[in-house]
Amino acid sequence: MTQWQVTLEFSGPLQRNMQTSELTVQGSGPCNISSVLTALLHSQPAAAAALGATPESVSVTLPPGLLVLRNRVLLPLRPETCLQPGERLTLMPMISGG
Amino acid sequence: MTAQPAQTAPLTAEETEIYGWQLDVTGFGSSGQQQLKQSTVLISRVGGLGSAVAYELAAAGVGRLILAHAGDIQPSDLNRQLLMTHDGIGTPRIESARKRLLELNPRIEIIAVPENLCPENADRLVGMADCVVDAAPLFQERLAMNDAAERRGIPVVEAAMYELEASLTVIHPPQTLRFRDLVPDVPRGWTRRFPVFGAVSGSVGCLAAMETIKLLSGLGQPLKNRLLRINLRNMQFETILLAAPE
Repeated sequence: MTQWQVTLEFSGPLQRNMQTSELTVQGSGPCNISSVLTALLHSQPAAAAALGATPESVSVTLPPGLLVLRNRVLLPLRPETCLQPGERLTLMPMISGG
Repeated sequence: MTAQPAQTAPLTAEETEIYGWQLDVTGFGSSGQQQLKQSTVLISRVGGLGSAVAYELAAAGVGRLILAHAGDIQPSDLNRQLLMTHDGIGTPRIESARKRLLELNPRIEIIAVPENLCPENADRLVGMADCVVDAAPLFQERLAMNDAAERRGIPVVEAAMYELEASLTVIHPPQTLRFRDLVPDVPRGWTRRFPVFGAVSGSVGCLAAMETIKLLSGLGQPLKNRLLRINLRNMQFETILLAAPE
């Protein structure tokens, strides 16, 4: 099994709930949005609360309103979108404050 | 919206004097001002963000503003909602907003709607506008307004903030992603109360007003398929490319 790690940057309510601006998560097997979010939510209950998601749910559907960015470009919003081990992503929940 | 050829009466001498400094902006001029004068903009809520949008659009001379906001002024509104006043606590927000805007610019028309956007009124209100500005605190309202705007082909300036962060983009399918491509449903983690300084909502409100002016007048390049992400904690401004869905 391929081991991978991905560094995640957080913004908005996600950063506030987690009380950190970034975190590195690790896993094995396919490296895609679903597996990275699953690893994050397993290890960080605060992230699960902020996103209203569970490790199980993100294998099927992404939390509505969560943007995943690579180098300031929006990635296709699908769980199976492939990621590169070692890369840095931004998790940006859409916000609605007025 | 794409700017249409001006078919309006010339600016009056008074208007030329009042708007003179912005008439000097390259690429704007009298034709841009006439476009603003003949335009109608719907602003969904005139709270911290929408107050700033409405104030700037009124100052710039947008001919008709439709303001949608329910409820009475609360003490906790006053740290950010610049169209509300201490003396108005307990009175309708929308009336305070109308009064303040007309004090600034009595030449414009204000349609004050004491309702928040919802699926039942969205088509009616959006259908009256050339452009809409989304400054609502609830995703339910944003989704209802964007759905109605998409049905009618009307551009939406999407502005939002949270704590010291803000975001801004223009949604105008099929030229851009749909709002539901970004937010397919109400995010479960979002809460009604959010941390806010008025300076943050006001900052993004001014930027949203400028995007609206650009859309109405054909000035510059609006934020279509791009999202401006602002972090005032460290003063980072970055533009995110919103790639089209496959």
